[in-house]
Amino acid sequence: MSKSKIRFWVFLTPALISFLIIVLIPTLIGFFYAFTNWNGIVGSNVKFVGFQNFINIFARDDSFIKALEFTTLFAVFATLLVNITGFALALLVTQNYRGTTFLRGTFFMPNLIGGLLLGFTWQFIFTSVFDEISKNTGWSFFSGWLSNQTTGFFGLLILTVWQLSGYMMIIYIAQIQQIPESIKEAARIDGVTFWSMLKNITFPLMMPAFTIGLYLSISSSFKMFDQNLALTQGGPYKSTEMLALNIYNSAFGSNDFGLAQAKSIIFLIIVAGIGVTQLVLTKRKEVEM
Amino acid sequence: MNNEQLIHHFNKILKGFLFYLSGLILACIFLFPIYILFVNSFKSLKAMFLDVIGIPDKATFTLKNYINAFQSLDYLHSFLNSMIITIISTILIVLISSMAAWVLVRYKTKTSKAIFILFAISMLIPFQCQMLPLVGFASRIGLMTPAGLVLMYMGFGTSMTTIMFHGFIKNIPEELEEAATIDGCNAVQLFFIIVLPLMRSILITVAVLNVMWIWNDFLLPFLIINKEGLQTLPLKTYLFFGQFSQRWDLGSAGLFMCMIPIIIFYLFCQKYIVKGITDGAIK
Amino acid sequence: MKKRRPVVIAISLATIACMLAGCAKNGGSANTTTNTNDSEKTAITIMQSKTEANDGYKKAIAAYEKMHPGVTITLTAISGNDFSASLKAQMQSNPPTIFSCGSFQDLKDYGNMMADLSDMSILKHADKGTTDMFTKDGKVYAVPLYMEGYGFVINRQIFTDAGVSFDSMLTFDGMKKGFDTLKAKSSSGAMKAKYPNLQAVMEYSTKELWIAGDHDANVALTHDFSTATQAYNAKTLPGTGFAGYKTMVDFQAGFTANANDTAKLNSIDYTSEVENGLATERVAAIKQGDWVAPAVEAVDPNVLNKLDMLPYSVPGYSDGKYFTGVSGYWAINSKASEKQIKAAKDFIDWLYEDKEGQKIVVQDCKFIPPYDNFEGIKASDPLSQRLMDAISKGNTLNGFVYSGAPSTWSQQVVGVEVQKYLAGKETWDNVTKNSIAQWAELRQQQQGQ
Repeated sequence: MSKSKIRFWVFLTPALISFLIIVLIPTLIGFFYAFTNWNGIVGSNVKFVGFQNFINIFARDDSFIKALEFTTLFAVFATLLVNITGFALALLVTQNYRGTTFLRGTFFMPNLIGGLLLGFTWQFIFTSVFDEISKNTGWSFFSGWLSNQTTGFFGLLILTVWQLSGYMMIIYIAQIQQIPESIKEAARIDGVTFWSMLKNITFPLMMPAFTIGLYLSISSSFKMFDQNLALTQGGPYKSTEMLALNIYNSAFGSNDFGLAQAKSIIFLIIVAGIGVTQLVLTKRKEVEM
Repeated sequence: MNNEQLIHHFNKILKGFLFYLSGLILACIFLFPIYILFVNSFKSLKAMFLDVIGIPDKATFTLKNYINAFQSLDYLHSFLNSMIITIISTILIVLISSMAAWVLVRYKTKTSKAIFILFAISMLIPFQCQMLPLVGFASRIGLMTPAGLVLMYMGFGTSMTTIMFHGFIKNIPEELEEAATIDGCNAVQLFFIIVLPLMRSILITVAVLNVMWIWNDFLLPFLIINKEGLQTLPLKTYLFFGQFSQRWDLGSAGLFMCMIPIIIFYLFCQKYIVKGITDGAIK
Repeated sequence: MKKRRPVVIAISLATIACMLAGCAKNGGSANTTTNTNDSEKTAITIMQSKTEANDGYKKAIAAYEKMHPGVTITLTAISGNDFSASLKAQMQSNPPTIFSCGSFQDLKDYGNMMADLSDMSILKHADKGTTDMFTKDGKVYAVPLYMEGYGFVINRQIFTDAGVSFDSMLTFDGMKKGFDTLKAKSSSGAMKAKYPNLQAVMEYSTKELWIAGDHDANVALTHDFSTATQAYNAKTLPGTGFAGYKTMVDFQAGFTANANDTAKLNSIDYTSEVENGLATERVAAIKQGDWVAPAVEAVDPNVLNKLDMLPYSVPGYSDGKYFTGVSGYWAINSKASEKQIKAAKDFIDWLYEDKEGQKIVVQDCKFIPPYDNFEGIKASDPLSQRLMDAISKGNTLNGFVYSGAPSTWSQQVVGVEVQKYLAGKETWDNVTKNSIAQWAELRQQQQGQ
């Protein structure tokens, strides 16, 4: 019994220790400071203010709630679109045709540019490029992007789907390829149609990938920061400010680091609730071979 | 019979046509921003703003941006920095995460469930709230170095990577491992010789994903190693986008030079993601 | 193949472990470089926020190091937007010897780390009032680096070609007349031949909160406060300047291509205004300051030579006046070693007193120095030159009173309100009311920080 326990801890420890030092401890330090009037420098003298920061989140203005609404709406749309697109792309690219390698590379390309620089690039596209298109074609659809909340929302959505679909696609490809050819052959011999195979064989066996795919999309949509900052800066008039940006502005804009930490805790509770629920639900559906 | 064959043939051609058509349209959409960056990296700033979409003609085509960006970025040096950090971090992340995921799956105890959930939740913590405590804490224990940066990537990367491995390891039948144990394998042999090779496609997939975000990561190197000589490529590229002047000419060339190593790496890895590995294993 | 794998892995692990151990050993001592130094070389670090001036600084450092081989200076530039976050992180780990600062918040945050600079020789030449922001109890804790100024940056040539002279536009009425003339000529197509790209007289990129707020708001604030310190100590805002503020907002919006749908202005960014606007001669005027010169030069140096700056003439209030002030300072880390502090002070003194340093300051960094010992050095661009002339004639008002406003007020409150106004979502009365209310509110909230 103890031999296998040793094995458990030996294999787990390296990951656990790095996690502890880098993630857990700083987060707990951050939790502590949420109850103070912190100025951002670890170890400086602070005054304990109890739950005042938490009250301030909702009492001072409605920016946090607005950001929460906007972010949630965004996360729902983004998660759905990204995963549907990613799955469709994965299916497309695992067919038996020439050129799938090229397509895989193409769909994965968006990931090659990092968050902040990607935001700049798309901002350039939505403003300068779109303006030129609208001038050349006369279609007013292309002018004035990012000047109001709606186009800002869709701008962020397009950017996210563009960037994350390839990422999800790779995860789904790995899982699709793990489906043993033998099962597929057997089904084909039995004469199933494309859709039926999709529904009864591919889909259920993909659940582990869906679990991860959904979880990654939900968490990254909720946490989105770089792209939000670079694309809309939360504007116009704060209408596209997502939660992470709202927290950042409290910290570095208003210099209210205690408030920012408090917001982070609330943020974490909300998103953790959603994320863990999703994980539990989809894990139950996973078919173990 | 002839008719049936004809219809079957027609279906095949139709499917093929649909495949190539959708592939083409999607490829165009996905490559559009990269096309914009590429095409504009060969134009001067003025030419770029006069015509943002078009391909530069003989008069406006210039290689100046690449030459200037190469120098400003101190390319070779920054490239080396990025590469060392990315490669070492990725190898370590993949190693320790696969190890952790394996035991978390095989040992169905409360502890392992709790740790799994802990890892999962940590992925939801916005970096902004960890940023300053991390920097404050890290500087007190001497981690403000490239080695410290690698440790940080390990810390942040393991949660996501472990979770990814978790699901896939579940699909590897335990009977296999039991058989090997009966044959006299110990834990290390079991893991490295039996289990890891079965995970090859996932290993490479996960490695690729980690390489992507670490290579392009901006915020951590910005906070930890933002000193002359230690900077990574994305960090230096960001300097083109100042508060009062956005040098899109140099920036697009710079962005491209950041992307090329990753493109090469990805193309290289594509060959090694092999299909149907577990086929043989079950037998 | 299968048998070799564990060996390969083991060797890699061992190698990596050794590398990490080696790096960690070196890394541990990296923390203390600011405070230790060998008897021969003094090493100082600079962390500055004006990336556009970075090349100029590098030139200065190279020249200085040549003359002072015992000193090495390492320069890091962080874009203004991220500077405060980055500085906060750096201060906890590896504080720089010299760092940029510019607001009362900086004095609050880092006051106990700023060395007393009152004995620096350059400060004897400082223009009146330029050291006030960082003076506490009679001691000066930061040295002013450059002044900036703003008004209406115009393409002089375009106006001349439209028959409008620069001197006729020095008052609000004159400016309006001149802009109207150009607008008419442009719509009629008379300018097409020489300026095929000309789309409108002005651009007004209110996507950027600092363009919708900050400077325009500053003009309004000068009705109530004459210095940043005065604003900083004010618990409430009378707001008497907001009527003039409205005039200027409407004025700018009315001369853009989106005059009939001003909501669209909220999507126009700074790049469209300067690099893809003024510099490509798509517009003939923007309300900006001398900081746009490097960006315009990068796109088209010919256009830079055609530029000039009109005063920021609020009718009946500031006709003919430019708004100027110091916007950048350097502080020296008081926790650095004595040698380092002295080396830092010497470098800055050299930069602003030595002829060669002065030339670099004006022509390479493109600064307007707030000191009186810069006679004879001509600015490298027409905008800075125009401002230097105005400053020497006293033809200016305080352009940086807004830095005394409550934190985030000038952008997140006023800037946002102006955006709403342009989008038709709010009346100007509410803009005024909300801005005044928020001033008092924020001031109270921030009192305890």
